[in-house]
Amino acid sequence: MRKKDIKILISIFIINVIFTSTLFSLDVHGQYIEIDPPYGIAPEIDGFFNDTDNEWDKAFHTGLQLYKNETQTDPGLPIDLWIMQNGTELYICIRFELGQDSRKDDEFMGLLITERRIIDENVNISEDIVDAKFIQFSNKTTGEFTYKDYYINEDVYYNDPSSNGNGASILEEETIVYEFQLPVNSSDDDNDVFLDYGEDYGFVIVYGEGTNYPADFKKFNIVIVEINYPPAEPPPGLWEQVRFVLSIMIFSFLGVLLGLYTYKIILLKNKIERYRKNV
Amino acid sequence: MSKFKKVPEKVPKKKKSRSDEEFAYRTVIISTIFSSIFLILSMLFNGGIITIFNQQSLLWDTLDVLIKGGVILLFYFFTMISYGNYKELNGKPIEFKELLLLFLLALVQSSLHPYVFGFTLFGLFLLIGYFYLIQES
Repeated sequence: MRKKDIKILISIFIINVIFTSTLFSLDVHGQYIEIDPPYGIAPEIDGFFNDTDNEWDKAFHTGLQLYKNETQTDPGLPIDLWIMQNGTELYICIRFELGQDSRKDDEFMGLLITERRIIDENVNISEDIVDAKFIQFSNKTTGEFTYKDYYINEDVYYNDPSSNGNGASILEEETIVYEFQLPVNSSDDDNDVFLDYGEDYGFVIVYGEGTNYPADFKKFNIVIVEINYPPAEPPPGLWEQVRFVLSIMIFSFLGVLLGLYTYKIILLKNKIERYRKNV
Repeated sequence: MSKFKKVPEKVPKKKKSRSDEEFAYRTVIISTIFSSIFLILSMLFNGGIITIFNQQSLLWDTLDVLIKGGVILLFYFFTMISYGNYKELNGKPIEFKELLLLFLLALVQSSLHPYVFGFTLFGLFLLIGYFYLIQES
């Protein structure tokens, strides 16, 4: 091989490395959307998003663009995002449309979770990401997918042996829906981010094709999610108070009757004894 | 003439009668204990002191109604057995007004929940039918 060819090969390799490193870098600077997820009744994590079933009606809803990198020349992938929580879980739904020809069978959607809030706008977000959840299609045509839980150590993705959370996805014509369910304030797995009440966490929403993380990440964006405390119980209404008093009265009355009846049973015992003695 | 005296026939009858009384009395005690347990459970569930299921779905709501109604029906079942035996030991049958009172005492426990009320009412009629049939046989 000529010396010139070797130089060309080395140049191509260096350009490739530089290109791919910028392509998959998660260094995003700027303002992130801050989400305060409202409380609601837990939606069913089945991948079905039907506007008529009102499952996500209570959720925070926003439109978002997933970009290839931080340069805004990329038109991005527009998605709809819904986030809500109940006392024990955080629910995230992502819905978007993409042409069939640009879809691959091994498409995935992931959530990369930071350990703490990214306050500093210049922080390298990839250093803070420690947990990742993916819904990975193995065959989009037949709808086969798996929910994957990973933990991240120095940018290397490891399979979490104890999977936490849940996910489901369904592709209907041009629309695909990804639904995630993450435990709140309950994880005892060191490989998972403990989503605590009153704390903010960075969520990187990442779209990709392939099974090699993070090399197969294609587009992403970041949102900040504050995990809310459960809402305080509303004070009992008049009907509740009346019901409470009525139930106390009813069961007190029944208790007294049962007590009297027990007393009569004891008297009956004595009566039987006396009858036996007389006979 | 036989060497042996005839064994009096009345003695075992008396023993049997005494043993029947004891059995009936023990049944009264045991069934009263059970009815007390189910009354306490009914107070906890139907009185709203304990919430059985926090999740809301058709399955959990149905189970909730079945448990609440079931506890009341078991209370009625054991109370009826206990009171029936108690009256028998007194040598009297249960009167219709007493039967009605027991029926109402069971039904009133479910009066704060419409679905439990419906289920209990239906179950009480079935139980009365069952008691009527075993009485007949």
